Amino acid sequence: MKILIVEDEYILAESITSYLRMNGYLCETANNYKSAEDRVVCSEYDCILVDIGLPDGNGLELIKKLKEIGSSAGILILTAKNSLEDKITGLELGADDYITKPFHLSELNARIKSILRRRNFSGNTKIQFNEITIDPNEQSVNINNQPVTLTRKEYDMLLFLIANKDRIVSKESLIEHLWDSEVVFSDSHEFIYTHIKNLRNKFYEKNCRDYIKTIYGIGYKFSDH
Amino acid sequence: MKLLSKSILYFFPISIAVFIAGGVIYYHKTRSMIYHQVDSSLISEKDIIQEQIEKIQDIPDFYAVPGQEINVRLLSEETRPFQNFSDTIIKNPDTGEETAYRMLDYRNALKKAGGYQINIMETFDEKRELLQYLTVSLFISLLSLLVLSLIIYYIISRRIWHPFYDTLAQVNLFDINSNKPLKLEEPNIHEFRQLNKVLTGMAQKVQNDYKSLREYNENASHEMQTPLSVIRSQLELMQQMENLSAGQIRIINVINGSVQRLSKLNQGLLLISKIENQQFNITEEVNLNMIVDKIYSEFEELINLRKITVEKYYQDGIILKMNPVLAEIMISNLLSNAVRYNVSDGFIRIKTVKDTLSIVNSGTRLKADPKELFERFRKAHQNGEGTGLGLYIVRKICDNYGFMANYMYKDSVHELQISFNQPYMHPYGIH
Repeated sequence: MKILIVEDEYILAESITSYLRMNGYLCETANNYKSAEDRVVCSEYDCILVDIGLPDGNGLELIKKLKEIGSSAGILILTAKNSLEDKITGLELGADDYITKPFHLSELNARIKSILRRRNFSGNTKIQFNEITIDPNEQSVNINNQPVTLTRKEYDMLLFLIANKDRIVSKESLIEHLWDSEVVFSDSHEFIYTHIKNLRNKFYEKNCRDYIKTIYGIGYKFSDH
Repeated sequence: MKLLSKSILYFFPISIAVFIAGGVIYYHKTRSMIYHQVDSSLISEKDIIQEQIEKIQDIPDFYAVPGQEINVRLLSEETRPFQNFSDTIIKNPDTGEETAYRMLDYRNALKKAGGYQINIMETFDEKRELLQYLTVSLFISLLSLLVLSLIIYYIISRRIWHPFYDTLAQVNLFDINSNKPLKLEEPNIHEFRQLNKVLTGMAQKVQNDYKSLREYNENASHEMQTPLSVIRSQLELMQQMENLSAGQIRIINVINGSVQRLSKLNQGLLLISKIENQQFNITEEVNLNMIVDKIYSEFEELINLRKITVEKYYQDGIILKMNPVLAEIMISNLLSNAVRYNVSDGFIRIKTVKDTLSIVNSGTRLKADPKELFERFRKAHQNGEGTGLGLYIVRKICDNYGFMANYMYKDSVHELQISFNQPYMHPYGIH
């Protein structure tokens, strides 16, 4: 999977690259509109992350360009502007999703996964992790071909953890992922803990291995080793 | 006191005083002129008779002109020249009618012995009536002049001050937040034209300054987002490192918490400047009850975790014309406060009655003044959780749409009410 990161802030582009590389993506970066345009014309990408405010142009223009040349790449807009108008314009131009700075890298990764999955019309859209099978279209989870009933939040949490498998997911990023609203409560941590416990119990009942590892002081990691 | 009343208040007593003084002087002048005239006619009559007496040294024949009565008699004693005018009233014994007379009493010595006395009386009634008539008509004309001048003054004042009141009305409608410039007419009175020019210029400057200040706030918040992203992503990469010590993890968590807080604060400030800059210009019909239900479902698990009982009581459906995003933010801030500052086994009651939404919740004792809670960074609880912007944002949204937000507190029960004033309602169930 090849990803182009169009972001004028070098360090941010660099950290996104490091994180995505850990997740097995090939990453290229462009720090301005011109070089981004050159890159998208020359090669194919599976997903392109576009920062709207570029020093020499607007990211929205790049999205127009991509549609002009008939690119099939998924497009995720990164922006510091949390404005509804930009969001609507971006999505109307054909972007797949929108993420507002400052974001968690794990959140970014989950969004990219979801875009790539939706783009992959022909292939299998189901997510498989050993004995766990998730069907995002039906929002159903099977373990050893037996259905498991999860609450909405438990399902979202599982999907988020699997999207960031083998990576440490911080509690903060989980909280922000689970609640759209800007509200963070002191007991949200306790709440995450309860959900993780419930998820573990439900998996345990279906004789599923415990893949959720608690990382002391930081968060959780979904891993089979 | 109005300008008009004030100037009339000055004008009225002065005019009255001038009119009274003028009236008194006029009355006395006319009166003394009348007396002078009567007296000189009496004297000329006396002179004729006196001339006769001096000639014949006896009482001559004389005729009294109508309205005059003359009495002449000789006096035996020594007489010195004497002349006196007096007013007298004589009652007609037949009719009982009283008539005013002016009387001249003149005495002088005769060449032989003794003297004579001439008494001439002239009726005075007609002249007195004339005086009265003149005085009354003068009074009436002065009074009408006074009333007329008040009316004219009133009309002129209103006309002259009209541009001023126009300006006042326009300035009153002026909104520093809006992009509409202050538009004032160009009156033909120099001073008012000058005033309008100064006001327009001042309003323009204030508006521009305010606009650039808001833009500065927004830009500053925007610019902060990128470095915050950098810090956060670097921390996340650090968290992925193997073999972190407990001490290192603690440091990362502390930094993380602060970055989180800073980022929330920044988002809040950005939101406020966007509301102030009227950037939420999309307006839709928003069903408030549905939004409350939606936000409630987001908090539901947290509410259950804290064992908070929630009662929803929708008596009326409230449909508002507002931005849907702002409506969600408003409800979300209100509900999150009701959850955040609640106690275990507490309660939340959500009511929509007529055009008012009220959220009542149990909680701890409120230490701050309820009115101050709508100010920014005014926190009732120093637990460091909130940004201190939640209710301020609610107030900003309310200000934007002319809603009224009210905080009430009694015995550890908190109530937040929002009156939507000009809502657009129908009974719940008909959407």
